[in-house]
Amino acid sequence: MSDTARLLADSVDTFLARHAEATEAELLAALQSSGFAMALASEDHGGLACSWSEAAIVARLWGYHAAPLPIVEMLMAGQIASAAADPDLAPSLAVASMSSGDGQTAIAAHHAGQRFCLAAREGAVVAFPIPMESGEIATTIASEPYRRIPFPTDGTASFSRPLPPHSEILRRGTILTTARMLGAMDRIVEIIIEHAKLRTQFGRPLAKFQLVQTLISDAASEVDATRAALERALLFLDRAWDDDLAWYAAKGQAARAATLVAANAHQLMGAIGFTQEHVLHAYTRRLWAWRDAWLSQTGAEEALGRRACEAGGGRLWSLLADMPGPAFASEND
Amino acid sequence: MELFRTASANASPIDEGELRREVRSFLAAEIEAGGFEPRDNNWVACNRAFSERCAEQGYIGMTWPRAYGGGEKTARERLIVCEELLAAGAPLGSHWVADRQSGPQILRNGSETLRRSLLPEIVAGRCTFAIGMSEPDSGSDLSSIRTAARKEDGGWVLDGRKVWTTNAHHADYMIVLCRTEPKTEDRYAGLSQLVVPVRNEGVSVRPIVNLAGWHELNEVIFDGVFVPDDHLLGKGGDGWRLVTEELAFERSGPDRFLSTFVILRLLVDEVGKNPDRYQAVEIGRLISRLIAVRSLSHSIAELLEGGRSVIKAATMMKDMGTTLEQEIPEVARRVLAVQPSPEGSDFARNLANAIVNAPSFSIRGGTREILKGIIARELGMR
Repeated sequence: MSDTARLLADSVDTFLARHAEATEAELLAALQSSGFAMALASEDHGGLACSWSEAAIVARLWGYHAAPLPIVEMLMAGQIASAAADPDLAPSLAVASMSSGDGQTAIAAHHAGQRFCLAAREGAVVAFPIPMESGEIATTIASEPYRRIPFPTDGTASFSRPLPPHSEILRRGTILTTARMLGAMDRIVEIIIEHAKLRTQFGRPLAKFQLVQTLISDAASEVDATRAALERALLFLDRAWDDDLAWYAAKGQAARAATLVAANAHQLMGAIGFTQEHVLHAYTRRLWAWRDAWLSQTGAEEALGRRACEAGGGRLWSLLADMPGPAFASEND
Repeated sequence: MELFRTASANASPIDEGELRREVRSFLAAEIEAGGFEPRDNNWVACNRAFSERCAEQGYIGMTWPRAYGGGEKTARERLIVCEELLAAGAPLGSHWVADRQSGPQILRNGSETLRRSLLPEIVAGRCTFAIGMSEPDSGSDLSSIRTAARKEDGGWVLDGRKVWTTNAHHADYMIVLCRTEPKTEDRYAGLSQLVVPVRNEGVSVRPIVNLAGWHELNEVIFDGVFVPDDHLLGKGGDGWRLVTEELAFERSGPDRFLSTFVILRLLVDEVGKNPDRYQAVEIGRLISRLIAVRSLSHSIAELLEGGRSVIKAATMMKDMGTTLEQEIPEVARRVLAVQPSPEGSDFARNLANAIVNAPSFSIRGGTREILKGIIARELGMR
């Protein structure tokens, strides 16, 4: 890990610890003035010119602290706005993670500053002002707000700026979501280890029971496998390499891990963890939602399976083992 | 709090693609010439001639010093070669144990005489090793072994019995864990490892046929076997530490997640270019896992190169990797309606072989339960 990355990690960690009790509005204001949301923007545009690996550190820490606000989408907004030479757009840009099946609405994580929406419509990426009347805010099972934003009906996307292709937006949003999931899972493993050591039943700490050790070992293993898969996906993304495997694998692994980590954590914490009062649900409910945020778990698995079958058995190993090459090198990020 | 390694830390100083291509063309020529038939779980199978040809390519003892015949390559290069050999389902049994753990053990803890006499032979593909740890009453609990060596002039006299010893009937040497001092309160003290020539007076090897009907396992009996002093590894009495180190090597490699890769390859071919959604999702789930476990295994190679402890990562990798090896044939039989049979098609034969061998994957090299205990200890819970 580079010094820059370490410094960034420390600053974000401190920032989030300091704002642990802040309201969402207060955190939003603090975040916008901190510049962390502009981590991926160029220095000319007031950003930190971070790599994707470094931006993933921000997303991971957001997950680790169970902090509110759609940090993944905000980081992407900073990058997209900067690459489009319009950095001022970033704080007001909603980046939709998906579109409804009927093609009528974009679905985007919500924060109070959003005025514009960037979304994929029939495969093309469009950006448009969010209509005044689209005010319905729903919540995920993690109580995080999102909005269904109707696409403009008059066919006029409001501005034409260079935008990344939909496949790349999906890839980046999925990878950063995976990083956020990793942070939440890292924290859960800490919580359950601590609980197992402190909580005594039948005259000994839970940590001394083999079945309890297994619940925790399995959770920790899943988390480290996720970290390794994510690092691979980030390596390819940082190098602007084409990738039709690693990022799917990272999401598939993260989602699989999330299911097991959440289940084992709740099993271990018993009734204590099944309350509003205990912090565990702030992590597990988010993980349950994020498994299918951006590219869904099944979507990732299906894509991998199709890619493998398309390659065929004779080329399967080469597909898995060989490093991919440069792809979207021309893009100005 | 763990963070990411950044991209630069992952950068490989070697041309990985070039090395992979080289190994693949060697393997393609071997298959073409009938040098071996690709099969799942084949790394246990002995084929001396093939091992000697691997040796000619420099694929054995790759990271060892030149002084002992080694190639002084990086751990990463060795990983690449091993992955390619394993993914191709090549028979590696004649050199695998020696290359993976016995050779490195001798290099770290062996006498100079032993290094000079054995390491070049291993590198040449001429020297097969077996691992003498388990006993009839000691499987996972190695501290309870009864095989013992007593000191005599110029060496040790070994008596005892080892079981489930893979390929002992092909082996030239066996590294035997034995008690050299009486058991005390510290049950792990007083153990030693001796390098024992198998074709030796007092050593007898008897087959134990496995449930698949194959002879891979053996019982090995030592009846007053003389072992010279310079065949002792370490200082004597520190055998437990040596075993622990060795097992980290044994557990950290791609043989712990690629044993049934051949099945996955054949499955993909059988399904064809246009899988239905169920087939795609099931195959994709396996691929996702394979990539994740493989990424973890590559991070172990980096830890090794950095001289850091690999115990936690290696143990996690083996646990998840062997579970994946077992899952692959189970998914294959659900995705395709094929009768697994030793007399069937390529796919049916490999599937049959994998199903009956699968139980061993999470036993050999440390049972799943032992692994989870080690992970728990590494996490500070024991």
